[in-house]
Amino acid sequence: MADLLRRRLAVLLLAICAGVLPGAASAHSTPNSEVQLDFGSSEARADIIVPMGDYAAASGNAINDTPANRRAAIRWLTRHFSVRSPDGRPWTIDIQTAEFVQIAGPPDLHAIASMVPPSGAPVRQFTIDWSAVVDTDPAHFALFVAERDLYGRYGDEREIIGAVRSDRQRLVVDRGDASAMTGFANAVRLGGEHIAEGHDHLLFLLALFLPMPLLLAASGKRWGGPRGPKDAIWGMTKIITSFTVGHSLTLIAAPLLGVHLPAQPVEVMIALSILISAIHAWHPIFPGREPLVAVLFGLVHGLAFATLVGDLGLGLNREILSILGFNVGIEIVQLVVVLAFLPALMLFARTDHYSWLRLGGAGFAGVAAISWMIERIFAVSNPLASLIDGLLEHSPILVALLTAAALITYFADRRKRGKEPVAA
Amino acid sequence: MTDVTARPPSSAPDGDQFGSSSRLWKIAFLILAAATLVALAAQWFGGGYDAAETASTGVGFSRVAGPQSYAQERERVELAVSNTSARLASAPEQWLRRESYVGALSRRAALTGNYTDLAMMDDELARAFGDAPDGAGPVISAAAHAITVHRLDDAENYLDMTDRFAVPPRAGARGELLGMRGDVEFYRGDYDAALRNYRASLRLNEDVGSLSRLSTYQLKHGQFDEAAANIRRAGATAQIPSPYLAAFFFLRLADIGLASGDWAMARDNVDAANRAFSGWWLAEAYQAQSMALAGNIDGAVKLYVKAAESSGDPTVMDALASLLRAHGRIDESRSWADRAGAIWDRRMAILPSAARGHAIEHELALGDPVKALRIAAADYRVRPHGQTAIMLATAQLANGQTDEALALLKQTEESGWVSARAWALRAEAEALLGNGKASDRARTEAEKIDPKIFDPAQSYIWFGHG
Repeated sequence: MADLLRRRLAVLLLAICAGVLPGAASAHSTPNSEVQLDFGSSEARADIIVPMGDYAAASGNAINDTPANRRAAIRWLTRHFSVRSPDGRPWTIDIQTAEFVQIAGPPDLHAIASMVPPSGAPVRQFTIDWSAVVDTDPAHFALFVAERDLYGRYGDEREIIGAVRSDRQRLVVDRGDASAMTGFANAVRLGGEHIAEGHDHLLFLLALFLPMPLLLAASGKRWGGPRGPKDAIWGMTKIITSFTVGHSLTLIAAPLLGVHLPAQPVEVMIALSILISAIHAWHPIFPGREPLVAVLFGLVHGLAFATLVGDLGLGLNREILSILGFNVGIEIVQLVVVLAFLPALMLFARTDHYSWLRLGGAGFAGVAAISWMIERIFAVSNPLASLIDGLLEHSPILVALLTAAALITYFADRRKRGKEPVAA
Repeated sequence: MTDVTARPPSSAPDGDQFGSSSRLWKIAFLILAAATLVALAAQWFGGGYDAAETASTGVGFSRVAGPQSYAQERERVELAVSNTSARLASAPEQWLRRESYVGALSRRAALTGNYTDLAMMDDELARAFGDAPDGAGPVISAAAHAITVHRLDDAENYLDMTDRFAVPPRAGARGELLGMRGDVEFYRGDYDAALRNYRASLRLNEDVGSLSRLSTYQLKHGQFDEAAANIRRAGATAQIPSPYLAAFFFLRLADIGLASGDWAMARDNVDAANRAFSGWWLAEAYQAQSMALAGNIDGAVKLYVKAAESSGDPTVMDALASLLRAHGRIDESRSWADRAGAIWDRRMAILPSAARGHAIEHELALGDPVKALRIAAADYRVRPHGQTAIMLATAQLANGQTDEALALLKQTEESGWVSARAWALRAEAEALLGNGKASDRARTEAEKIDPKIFDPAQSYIWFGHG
């Protein structure tokens, strides 16, 4: 009996060798090249990834990340990559950087090339001839993807253009006509998306708003009772206007003046700005000077926006219309968020429990700011920061809950006041 | 309207909860406390995003008995081979003794992956049939062997012979026979018929074989949870719950994790396989793959070399060659690929039907795409199911037959075969044909099945890719 069982088991296990069970044969995924194309107003940019091993096998070049090897890689890519306009004239390809990097999975040769059409030729129609690796490895292919096309119909959406392989080394690219209005509309959308995803900018603003519905106490050292709604709203209007002026200045000036700052200190400063406004919401440290603080920190926040615009590249930073569009997008989302938050703020301010919102909000903003600072300074993932980001992704629900809580508190307070005996 | 920038002090009651003298200190303390909290939380959870990803690695065994290492199991199998061989030598005309010897060879082949044993089984089975009376002989063993070496017509003939047995087999054996019929249909691409037989087999005999077969069917149809559940059920029914079988099931679970993009589950189960049954080259190869996925390339290379040297298995050599190539170690890669290629050539000469599926992969990744296409077409002709279709489509793409590959992939998808790799290939084919939107849609479908299918590290997966 045991022998029979063993035999049946062996039959089952034999399937291992036969490709039936574990280790079953199927098409193994081989690394391939990918070229991401960004389309600008006057040039295109190619972000090139070639698997390092395939590069080494195809070129025979060394792959240690040294300047000489990087230059050799640039020369090799230049020989295997060309672009022509529909009339046959060659484009100017400038491979600006090449490096051997390991981002995820196997290491890659990563290069960035600017592609400039000849005078009068369109930037959105061209033919690419690509033979890198595919000329020696028939199984290899290079995928071409449109990553950003601000002037086209796809905006910031990734779209596969096509692929080349050993038998098809030519790819015709036609992105249709460019339109200034499309570029502006895409820039508005991009600006809106970026601030909606950038919780830190909005949290700074909202933390500054928290003490606005309050007067300063007689001592001048703590927040006091409520102030009139008109005054509160006027104060907030001045803050948002100051913040807009501040970030618009750097957003517009930095790209135009070619100012490039490393992202890390700017991001840390933004987290610091939230911490300071959170402390101010808890305890007044610059009462009456909130607009000044908003304009000053607005300059810093604007640098972050400018970095984003710079990252989009492709002449966007030279297109005043696009920068304006990006800024308009930011303002629209900013205004929507403020208007959504305002009813809860104003209602709570007219209850006896506004300190709940102020202190709770200040505490939350403070913890978020510290979490982000740690994350940004040490460049390590921070679970608390992730948790806060996750929470803020559900902002509409949070605002709705806050508004509902404000309504309940407001009416409960009114009812309580109605029942209280009138003082003699 | 009061100007907020010149806000006058009011006599309103304070809204703060702290006394004024120590307020700043308290705020400073609160900030410090918050920072400490964040730092502690970071320390507690730091690098621990995987903490929640603790896959269940149980395979349903209530007890485990038997050799706990590959070396011990190998010793036992060698003893079985020599014992059955000695018994056969004393009465070489007795086909039942020869069948026992074949059984021992099959156990050794399963353990070592050695094709010589598979080829010997061919000869021994032929001799056994020669010695047996007409209509008798090692029919069930021969059917199982035919399925193992992918000779589906032979398997069907042997299974038909069992229908003519004078004494019908017992329920357990009938269940096994139905399972084998299901296998034949499965590899012919008739999945509905296969499922009917697998279910019938399960009704007759819920055991390791019937549950494993159903699990394979479910894995290839995208029913990952059900596939994993049936592996655990299979473990619970095991009548010989050996560490070897436990490791085998752990690797099955790892396959499910790899096919569905749950690499953490795969890693946990690979670890469990190696703990349960140490020194098994296949589990070590999986372990090396896990190490590569985790970024430990040097460790992976070292372990692959050990597994390749100890087993002489060309699949392990191919995985090693591929890893070395990805890291630019081209000469070492070529050396291992050449070594593997020579073994694949030998295996193709000995048992082409069994070797084709793996040899294609070698040729595609490290050898000659034209040869890969020839082998893939032959394999698909005799086993026209999802797996061979994907291999053929890959070979077609590598040979510029993009339209043919796309048609085959569409047909595979319509057949009910669920594979992220198939969709990824379809995305590639559509891109090559300039159909950007269709390519994007195919990528989305692929990611629905395996969210990690386009992860650059995917190319490290040689064992258990779906």
